[in-house]
Amino acid sequence: MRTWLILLAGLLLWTAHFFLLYGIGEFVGETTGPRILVILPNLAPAAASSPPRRR
Amino acid sequence: MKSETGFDPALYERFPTKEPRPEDEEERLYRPWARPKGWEYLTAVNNNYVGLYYLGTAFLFFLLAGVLALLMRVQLAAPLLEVLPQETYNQVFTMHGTVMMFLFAVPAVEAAGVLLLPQMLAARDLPFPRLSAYAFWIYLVGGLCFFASIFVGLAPDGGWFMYPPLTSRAFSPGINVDFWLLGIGFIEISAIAGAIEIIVGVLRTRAPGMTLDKMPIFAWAMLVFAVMIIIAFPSVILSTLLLEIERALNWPIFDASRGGDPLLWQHLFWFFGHPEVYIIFLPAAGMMSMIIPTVARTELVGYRMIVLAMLATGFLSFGVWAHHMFTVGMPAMTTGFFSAASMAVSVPAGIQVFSWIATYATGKPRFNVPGLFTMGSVIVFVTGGLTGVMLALVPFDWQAHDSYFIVAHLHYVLIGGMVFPLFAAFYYWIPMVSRRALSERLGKWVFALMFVGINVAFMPMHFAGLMGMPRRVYTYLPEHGWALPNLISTIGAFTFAAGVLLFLVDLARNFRPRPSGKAAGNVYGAGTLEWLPNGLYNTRSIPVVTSRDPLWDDPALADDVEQGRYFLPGSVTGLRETLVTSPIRAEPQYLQVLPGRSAWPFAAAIFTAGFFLALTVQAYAFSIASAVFALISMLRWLWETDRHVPVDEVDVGAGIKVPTNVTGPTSHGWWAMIILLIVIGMIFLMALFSLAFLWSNKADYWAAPPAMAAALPVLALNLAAVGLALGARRLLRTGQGWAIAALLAAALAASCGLFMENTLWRAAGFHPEASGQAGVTYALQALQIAVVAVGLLMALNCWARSLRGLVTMPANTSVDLAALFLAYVGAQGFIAALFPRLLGLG
Repeated sequence: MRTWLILLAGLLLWTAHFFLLYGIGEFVGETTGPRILVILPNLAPAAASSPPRRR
Repeated sequence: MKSETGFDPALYERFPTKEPRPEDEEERLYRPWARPKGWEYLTAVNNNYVGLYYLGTAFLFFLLAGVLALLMRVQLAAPLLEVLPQETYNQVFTMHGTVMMFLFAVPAVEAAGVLLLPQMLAARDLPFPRLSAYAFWIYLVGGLCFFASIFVGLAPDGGWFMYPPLTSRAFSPGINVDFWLLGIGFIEISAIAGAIEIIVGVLRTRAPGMTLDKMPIFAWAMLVFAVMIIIAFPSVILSTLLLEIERALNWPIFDASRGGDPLLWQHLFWFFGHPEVYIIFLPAAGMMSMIIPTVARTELVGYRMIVLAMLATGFLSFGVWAHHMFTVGMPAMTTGFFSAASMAVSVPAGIQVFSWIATYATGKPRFNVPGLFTMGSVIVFVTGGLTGVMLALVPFDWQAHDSYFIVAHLHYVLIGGMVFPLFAAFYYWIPMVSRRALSERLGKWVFALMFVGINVAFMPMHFAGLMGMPRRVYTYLPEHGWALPNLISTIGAFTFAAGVLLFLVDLARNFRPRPSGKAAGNVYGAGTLEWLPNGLYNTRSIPVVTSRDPLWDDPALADDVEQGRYFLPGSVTGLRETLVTSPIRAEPQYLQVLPGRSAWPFAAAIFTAGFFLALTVQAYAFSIASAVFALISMLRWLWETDRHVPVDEVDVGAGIKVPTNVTGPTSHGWWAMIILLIVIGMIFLMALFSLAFLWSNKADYWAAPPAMAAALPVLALNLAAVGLALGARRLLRTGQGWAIAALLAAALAASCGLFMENTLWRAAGFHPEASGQAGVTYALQALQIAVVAVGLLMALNCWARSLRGLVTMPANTSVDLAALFLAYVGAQGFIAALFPRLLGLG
């Protein structure tokens, strides 16, 4: 059950992430500020999914 | 083993029971489910009948839309033909697309769900059989009337996605477009009613022990399908409503010259329209995942991966709608997101395809007709999927947009992804309801003709498209060089049609009148529960499920079930009953008494269809009368439900006792209400999006809304409505008088809030005809009027029931659900007052 919940949470996260990006593109615009705004939510999951550093 | 509800799983070991069953037990079980006679067939509500009616009607629409396709192919077989005049051709292609998508594809898979799910889950029926019957009748009556419009030249002619401004009053002054906008209305109602039934059915009526991990994959597919309908259909409900309002009342919601935006329609339509493709595909994929293991005589490879892939498809499909709009000039950054998501959605589809191939590879596949159709489906669907990935690339889409390449792509996807699996399903499951299987010999011819036909018909369209042939043209010049691919396509279309015709012959041979007898049964040797011996009440007893393929793992199961050695071997109350189980582990929770045959769902459907159709032809008096009669029929139908069962606890087999009168989050009614509120909430959310979209894109036309301070009483009244409704739920536990008074007060508070809000906007000089902003704002208020009216009716219904002594405390579903609904009404009113003002602050 825990695995399913994690997977479901991942899908929900993707959805929130996608609509956030769409919202920025649609309602905020395409200047440098919004572009940086778009990069940030993309960096967060990328950082989270990177393999743990070895000690 | 852990328990979800406190139920002790050790109790399952009491089954199968050993002691002999009482002699009259089966007779008592059969009596409430007895076969209807004569006109009573109109009042049948159980899934065996409604599912078959539904499927038959959907197939009829497939044939009708197919005939329209052949007419188009004849017209395009050679340059400059005049078989169909241009105007008629416009109506024919619009009706072909609309009927295939709305009257065939969605209802067909929903029908398969209604017919198969209770059998697969070993439930006696789905939890709201009258709702299923209503959904079917409204679809049949409305669909036939809608289709008939083509015979009088009034069929819609703006294409199946009805873009304004082409479909605005200025460019489509006739009632053709109204036929589409209002005609789609009852299809939407039908689809949503079916979806609610399927979600609650799958989550709450599974056989004990059938945990989510042991659920048949088709049930998973139907669950995702139904959830997608709940999320996607509200968008098309809102868009059709807004366009009809614009046409009828001149509110300029999509009129760019008055602060509206036609692109808003495209966003709203495709937010529904693209998930619609997956709404159609997923149940068909579920069928494939059921059929392939049986054909290959092995377990499905990657069950969990397939479930995950279906869930992922459901989520990702809501992030791809704007790939239909790459050429409209969206911001480049947004276009990039949609392009990436459109490519990503092919990954979960690919997972399913590879799982099917792996299942074939690890098993011993039989090349029977269901097997051939599944193999054909994989080939055709993958071809369509690959061109889909090509179209997800923005530069390629710019070249191919609105060309015959698109027509080829979508037909490969839809025929491979839905039609072929459906034919596989016909051949596979017909022995379950008929005395024998369909003919293998004829079936192989059917497959061959259809498989060759689709490739010959649609492969050349890729080339015609790349050669520049636009879609929806009724003819072309010889010098364009499109004659040869078109002629080949026409030959292919008729080859495909010959396959369908041969299938009809086979079907007629199978179902010809003859003495009744038992169904042919498990001719393909499948492992899932729909192949248990069944009657009108489905299985004689409800088994305990311990694996995904119970018939393979326990060869004695069918006999034990038939002998009544499991749950509910008879009827405890003498009425129709089913066992309601918990959503995750399927532990027995309570006994639901199912409503029996009734003419009221039929009457309600006739009058609902009458309301929409009369509105279309502007017969307003008749329309209002139909609405009143529809309402009376619904109230009469509801009046007969939610009756107190005199016995509080019953033995459902082997001495296991469960309650009968249940309310609150445990009850199936509560689940249905929550889903309904999600539907209404989604419609409202899309309306808020519409307002925000115009605010963002039509700033020049934006006017300052009435002051926030003036709205404080409106906000307070709506909060009071929420508080009173929630209070009513609490009071329900102590006494009925105050609970019903609180409900009526909540409805009154919400009504007053709405009236004040409307007055404020009118006093501030906002007129709905003035701008897109005003139009959408008043549309928000119209939505609020609708929910307040329903809430008020529910409160009055509870009052009337209490006067007749039908409100039995503390467990009463009618009051509980009315309270839930009115709490939502207050919350929606609050946001409807707040949001338009927040947009004015920027």
